[in-house]
Amino acid sequence: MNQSDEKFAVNIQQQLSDSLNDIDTDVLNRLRQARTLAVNAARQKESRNTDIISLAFPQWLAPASTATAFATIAFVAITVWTQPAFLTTPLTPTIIEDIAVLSSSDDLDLYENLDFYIWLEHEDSTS
Amino acid sequence: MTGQNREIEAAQSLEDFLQSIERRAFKTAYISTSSKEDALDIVQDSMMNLAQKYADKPTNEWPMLFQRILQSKIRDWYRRQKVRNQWRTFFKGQNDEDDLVESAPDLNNNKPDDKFIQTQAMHTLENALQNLPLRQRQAFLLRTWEGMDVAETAEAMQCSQGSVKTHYSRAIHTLREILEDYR
Repeated sequence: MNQSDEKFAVNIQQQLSDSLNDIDTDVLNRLRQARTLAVNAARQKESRNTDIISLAFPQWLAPASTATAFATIAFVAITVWTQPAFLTTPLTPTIIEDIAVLSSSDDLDLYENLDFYIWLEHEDSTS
Repeated sequence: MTGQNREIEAAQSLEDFLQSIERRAFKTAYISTSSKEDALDIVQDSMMNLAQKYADKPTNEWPMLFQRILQSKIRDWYRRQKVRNQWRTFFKGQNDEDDLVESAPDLNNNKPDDKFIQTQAMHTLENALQNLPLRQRQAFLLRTWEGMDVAETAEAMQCSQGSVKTHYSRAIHTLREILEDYR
């Protein structure tokens, strides 16, 4: 934009700004009403949000919930600290076998009587 | 600070902000619509929109948010007018009686906007601005009157910076041709 354009724009800007003082009283009153309505709407929305938060989480609940949180953390910490040894024991071959049996689609009766079948086989081979 | 005090302070900030921009917003809308009632509606809707949706945003973001809302409302108004005019044109040939009533001169010359326009110079300037295409007028008013730079104007108009430059340049040249006195 050249200097001449700038001067032209400044002149128009000045003219427009001056015209703001000529706005009639009726318009000004209605603008004030519109502003008041808007501010009230914002306040109502803010109050509604505060109410919702208060209902969902009452003030008196704050200390109680903090105490509950600490108690939970302490409980979990103690439980982990003093957990039974079996939880930390690595899986033994027996356990792995059990898992294989339980996850198998074979008839469980076969496994329940497995000792009997082993004995029977042993008897057959020795006799 | 208690919640209630914070609420009062926030409401006061919003009130101050709206008060600082309401006249300029009205004038912008008026230049775009040539109608006091429509301009007031647009400003009221824009204020309400800002208050309901963006009042919790940082106060330094309000001017740009408000401009975006205002410019969108003005564009919506244009679209509605366009549709209305199409229907009017469509029915014009079918109902001559309505046409006569609409085109009858106002003998009392009680056009409400006449009171509003107080000086001839302002009247000429407003006419020139009103005759600009919408996007050119928006670019011109945002850059010249609102003092926005190209990037801010592009954001408010929701278009590219290149478009803003083009619209603004065309607006300046058209206005200079019409308003010789302002040179």
